[in-house]
This record gives sequence, structure tokens and C-alpha cells, in this order.
Amino acid sequence: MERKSERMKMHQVFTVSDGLYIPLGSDTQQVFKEVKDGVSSIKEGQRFDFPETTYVSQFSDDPSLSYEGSSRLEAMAKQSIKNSIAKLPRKLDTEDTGFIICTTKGNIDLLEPEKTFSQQSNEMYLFRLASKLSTYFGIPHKPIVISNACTSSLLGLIHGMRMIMCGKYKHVIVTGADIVSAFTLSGFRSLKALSSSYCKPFDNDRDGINLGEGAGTIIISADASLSSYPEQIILSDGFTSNDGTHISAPHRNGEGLHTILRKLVSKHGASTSDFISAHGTGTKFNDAMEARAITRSGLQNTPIHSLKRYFGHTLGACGIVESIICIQGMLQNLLIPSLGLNKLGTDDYLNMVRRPEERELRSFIKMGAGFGGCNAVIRFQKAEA
Amino acid sequence: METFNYSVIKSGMIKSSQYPEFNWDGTTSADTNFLQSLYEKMKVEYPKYYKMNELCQSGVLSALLSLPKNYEVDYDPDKLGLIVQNNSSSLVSDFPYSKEYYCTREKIYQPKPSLFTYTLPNILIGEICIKQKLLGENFFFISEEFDLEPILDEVRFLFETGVLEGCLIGWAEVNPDNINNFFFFLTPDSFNNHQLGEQINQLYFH
Repeated sequence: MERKSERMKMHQVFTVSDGLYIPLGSDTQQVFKEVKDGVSSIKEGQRFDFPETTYVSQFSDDPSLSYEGSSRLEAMAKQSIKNSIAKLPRKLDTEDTGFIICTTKGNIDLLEPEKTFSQQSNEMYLFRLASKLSTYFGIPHKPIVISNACTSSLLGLIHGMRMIMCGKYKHVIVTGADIVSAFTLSGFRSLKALSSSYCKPFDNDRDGINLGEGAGTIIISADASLSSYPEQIILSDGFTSNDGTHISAPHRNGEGLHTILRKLVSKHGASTSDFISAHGTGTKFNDAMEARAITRSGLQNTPIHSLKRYFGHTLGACGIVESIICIQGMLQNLLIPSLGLNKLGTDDYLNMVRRPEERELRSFIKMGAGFGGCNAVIRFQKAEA
Repeated sequence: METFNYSVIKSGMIKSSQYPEFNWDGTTSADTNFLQSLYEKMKVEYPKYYKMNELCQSGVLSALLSLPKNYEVDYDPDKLGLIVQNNSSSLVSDFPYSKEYYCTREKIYQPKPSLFTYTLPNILIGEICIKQKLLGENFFFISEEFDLEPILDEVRFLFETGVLEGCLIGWAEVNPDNINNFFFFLTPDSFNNHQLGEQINQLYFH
């Protein structure tokens, strides 16, 4: 095994393109337009034989999703990857390209409970899903799969960023995807984590999440000339941590999240970012925990929003999907309001974005947290002119 | 000679570089449940253990057998990481959960929440971090076979940039018929050993 004894030379990492495929729109510009107009894809309805009305963001037999041998999840992931590749100014050299797939449950809708463990189809294995996608896009490297609850795609971006920094890859395609299924919906329902109505992140009356589905892809690269954006965007930092306290509830004081936010603050100062995109699921505990961690890190005056009310909680995909919206917001110098908020309901004060506001934006932090006590933060910024 | 602590727990073998008293070659198979018997022999006495699925139970024992004896005093918990990889994610729990869900939905629509919680692979990371107070970086990778490359790439970065000072690494594959766990603990010093990859492969594949 080869190992470099000298300190590694760090490459700068540029975010060069993105692609979305979620029920709110079939790519970034369409989704961003809906978000700007305050439109949400969360709909009330009867789903999966549940007795009560559920509120989810779900594709309804979308004719543009052609299955042709693909599962629903693969079709969404493929579309988001295609969208991201199509915007690049020139073709990627796939020999130098890493590929990371991030998902919590993959093709969970294909699980067959009447069969035994060993009789389950290949579709159930996340590494097969990844190799199917990498073959489709002609990427020779073995794809990497990360399944780390709701921080999955933030961890994918962090791992990809580090692999470019240390020179392992020149480019990395990072895709996050998850679907709404009876499996996950019944599970969150059993935990009493579903909202009885539309979710209300950070609101005093928040009572749970709305699930969402879809896929997002971000392409990062050491080569700024591959950028599809009007301004160069750098993925500057990313960290993960674990609370070490509970498998399905966040740390009361936001300890793990605070630890990694503090790392950003000590590197970039208290004005480390022009806005924060919170995880903001709309559960009592998550939102309170985030508010605590932000206050403890001295970031309580930084404008903050949650995007969950626009397209639901997309689980393993949410870190990438929401980062893509924030990149558009930063490029257009527009603070995106936190939809669903009436009266702030966290003990700690937060500078919530309540209406769209034009102002110069040069950087932002995307945060995430999830079951298993995991936390993650990443920071994007515009390159200095 | 290995320069790092490691342990193997699999159906038919238990091996630990630090706790040879628990080694088992599978020949004395009087125990019907070797994992339970290991838990008892190790005198772990951790009531939460009984709430876990087998993936987490075996993982918690693997961590105990692989972490250096005095790691709590030698390391800052924020600088201790945990990276785990396996083949089948949490399928070992997805399966009973979906059975329960399909069986109960017509009557009460109420599967057990405790079953659902274990349908994520990184709950294993959460359980180990709670028990051992490892509070630094954590990643759960999925791979068909034990694949050191992405793990060591990540660990190299974390050591060289000073984010971590120690990292517990594990392959944790559990299905209804088999347990196959291989865990080891690396530090920047043991990482710079040039035979590291060969030693790990030797220990895992032989």
C-alpha cells in the first residue's frame, strides 16, 4: 500500500455543477423559482393504507420518470445526475472522477417481507444500486456508498471534498437520493415524529416532520474552469461528529453540533457565514437542539432558515438537495425565507429569515443531524474576486 | 507483529490482540449462542445491550475488544473517530421490521418503534459512541466486500490534518446466519507503518 510520508498538499475544491430531481421541480432553476414564489410540493392525502391523512412530498406517477428497468429511486438519482452533467461546460474525464452515492434506505420499496433474507433481490443491496448507476454513467472507479441517516449526503460531500483536497480524485460526483415508502412513513409514524399537518420548522406549534422524496447531485472539482456557475463557488470546509448520548434523539445542548460549528467559527470568525441553512425538521427536539448549538457557537445573529416546508424531509438526500437551493440563493444574493414559521418556538433566539431579502451573500453553512447521534456541517463560499 | 489493536468476532472464531482470554477457535461449540456467551464472559453488564439488534450487539463487543485499554485518559473524545463498513446495511433489521409492519397494518398500524430505529446501519455507530464516548468524525460506508481504500483515504486525511488522534475502524457484517466482524484501532503512529495494509488484509482474510 502506497503512503505519502510528506504532508499532503491540499487542493482547493470548487462546486462546479448541480442537478435536482424532486417533486417540486425537475431541475434546479424550476425548483428555485417555486421556492422563490413560496410554493410547496407537500400535499395532504391518503397514502399506503394509513387511516389518517398524511402530508408528504411525493412524485405521483410522474410521466417524465421513465422506469425502463430502473427502480423509482434509480430513476430519480439518474435524472439528477444527468441534469448536473448536462450543465458542465465540457465533458468530465471519468478516469479522474469519483462517484459517491448517499442514501438511507435505497430501494426499500422493493423489500419483499414474504421472502427470506437470502431470497431478497439484488436491488436491496446499496452497493448494487451504486454500481448500476456508475456503469450507466461510465465511471470506471468503484463507487462509494455512504448510509449515515439524515447526514448521509453531507458526509458524501465531506468525503468527496477531502478526496479532492488530498489529490485522490480530480472530480467527484456526489448524489443523494431517498424515496417516500410505506416502510419509512410507518416508522416515523410509530415514533410519533410525523406532523399532523404541514410541518412548521422552528415554530412554537411545530409537531413533527413531513417526509419528502427525490434526488440531488453536486459535482465538485479541483478544476475551477469546469464551473457551470456565473461565479466560482468553493466548498471550503466540512466536519462530522457524534453526540454519544442517544440513538434516536439529539443531544439536549446540541453538544455534537456545537463542537463542529465551533471549528468553523474558530477558522472563519463569528461572521463565518452570511446565512445558515438549518436541518430544521420541525420536531420539538431537533429544532431546539439546533437553536442551542447555534447560540452556544455565537452564531445567533446569522440569518437562518429551514427549507423542509418547501419539499419535506428528503432524509439521506436532504443535505445535497438543500445545499443546491442555497447555492442558487447565494448566487442570486437572495435570502430564502423559512416557510411555515409564525411564532419562533425555541428557547434560544434565532435570526429567522421571514421574508425574501436581497443582500450580498458570499458564504453559507449547511447543517444536518440524524439518528445514531450524527451531526455534520459544511460551508460554501464564493471565490474572492 | 501488528502495531495496532484488533479483534475478530465471527461465527466460529473470537480473537482479540489485547484480551486473549476471550479467544475462541470454534472447536468447543457447547454454546448455542456464542455472542451471548462472549457478552457474559466479558462481564459487560450493559442493560441497553438487550435492546439492540445483533449488528449493534456484536459491534459493541468488537469495539470493547479493540479499543486500547486506557484510551479514555489518553485521548480527547472529540478526536476519536469511528468508521464502519458492511455489505448489507441494516437489512438484518429491515426485514423483521417490514414483516411486523405488514402483519400489523390491517389491525393496529403500529409497528414497534424500537424495531424501526435499528433499520439504519449507522445506529451501530451511535451505540458504540454512546458506550465508548467516541465523539469525533463518523462515517458508515457500504461495500460488497471489505474495502480498506475509502476508509484509509479518509483516515489519512483526518490524521494529517489533525482532526483525529485515534480512529476505530470496523467491518461489521451480520445476517441471520452469520456474524463477521473485524475491528481495529489506528493512531497516526500506527498509520505510518508501511505494512499496515498488508497486516490488516492478513488478519482479516486469514
